[in-house]
Amino acid sequence: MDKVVYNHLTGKTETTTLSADEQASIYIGFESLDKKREAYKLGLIKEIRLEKLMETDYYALQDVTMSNEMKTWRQSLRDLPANHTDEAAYDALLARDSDGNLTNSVWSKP
Amino acid sequence: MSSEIKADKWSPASGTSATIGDSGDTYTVPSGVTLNTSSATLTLPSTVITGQTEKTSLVDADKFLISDSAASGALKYVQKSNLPSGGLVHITSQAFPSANNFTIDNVFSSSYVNYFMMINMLNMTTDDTVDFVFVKSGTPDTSANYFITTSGRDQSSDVNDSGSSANFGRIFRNVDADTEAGASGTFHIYSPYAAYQRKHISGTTVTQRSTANNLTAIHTVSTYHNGTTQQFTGIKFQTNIGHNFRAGSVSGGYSSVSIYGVKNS
Repeated sequence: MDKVVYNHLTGKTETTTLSADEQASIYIGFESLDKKREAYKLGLIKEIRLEKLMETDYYALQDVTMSNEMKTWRQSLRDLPANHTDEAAYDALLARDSDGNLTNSVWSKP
Repeated sequence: MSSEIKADKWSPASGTSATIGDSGDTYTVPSGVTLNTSSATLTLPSTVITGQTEKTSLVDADKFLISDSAASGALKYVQKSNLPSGGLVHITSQAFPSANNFTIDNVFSSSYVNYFMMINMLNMTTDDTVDFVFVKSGTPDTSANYFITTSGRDQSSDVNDSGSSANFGRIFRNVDADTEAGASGTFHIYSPYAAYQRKHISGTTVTQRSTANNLTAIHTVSTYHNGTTQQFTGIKFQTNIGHNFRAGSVSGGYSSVSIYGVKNS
């Protein structure tokens, strides 16, 4: 990895290789950059999951009947972190088409 | 001198106008002579300004001629140093490199207390969030003294971030990698160089999270607080999970950043 620094006093931009410490500073608080990336993607998945659950919360109102399919789907959303545990699985969940729509069927409401 | 006219008054021989000399003649008013036109109507040639040499860079001691409305229109001059001059003073504009970090150093100084920063259509190579740390004479400050709040909404839901005692502040949240996407924002940077314990950045950003749709408007607030004063000289932009910026172009208007000093007066 490179470090790019523009110095306004000299007007020059220099590119040098990041030291080990500088590389480590990118993922402070995590075991590695890969682990930080996994946490980042899992965070995005949880945001989407929350959005999907909120969209269907009204089925849980007393005067509305929630179908078994809906119950199963909502539970599958809650189980996503337990059932998807690596970056490849996260990427599959976050995949979108060219219009920005999520493509993984797990997000499709029954 | 072949002859000298001595008279107390010149008047036209007839009518009300007369001419002095002919084209090409030069009349000189010698040093020490006073040519008093203070009560007359004096018509100057239209080239009195445009016929002079142009000066392209003003300095404080330069002077402007004015009619003083508080002194019956008396002619006076004003020094450039006394002209109202508050506003934004451009410091630098830089294109983001093809890297996951970009430091701009030696832009904060005692010259200004507060700064304005504009980031124009920052593109990513892969989806990522853009963070920052302050820099002091070349050394990034990654201490756990940053506090973050972002709050906004996209086309379907609220999007927020918060973090305390983080090792970085936040500029843009979750920028999409598509070449048609990107993030733009204007930020105010408060007291980065002032010898004061707290520094603030506030901004309004627009982040496009997917191709041709899903615009996210986010208000970003980051604070830095340290138990001791820090006089930061620069800012380092870094992606949260290590993906590269797309190389930008200042003239092209994408993936670029401009920093201005806020001049009070």
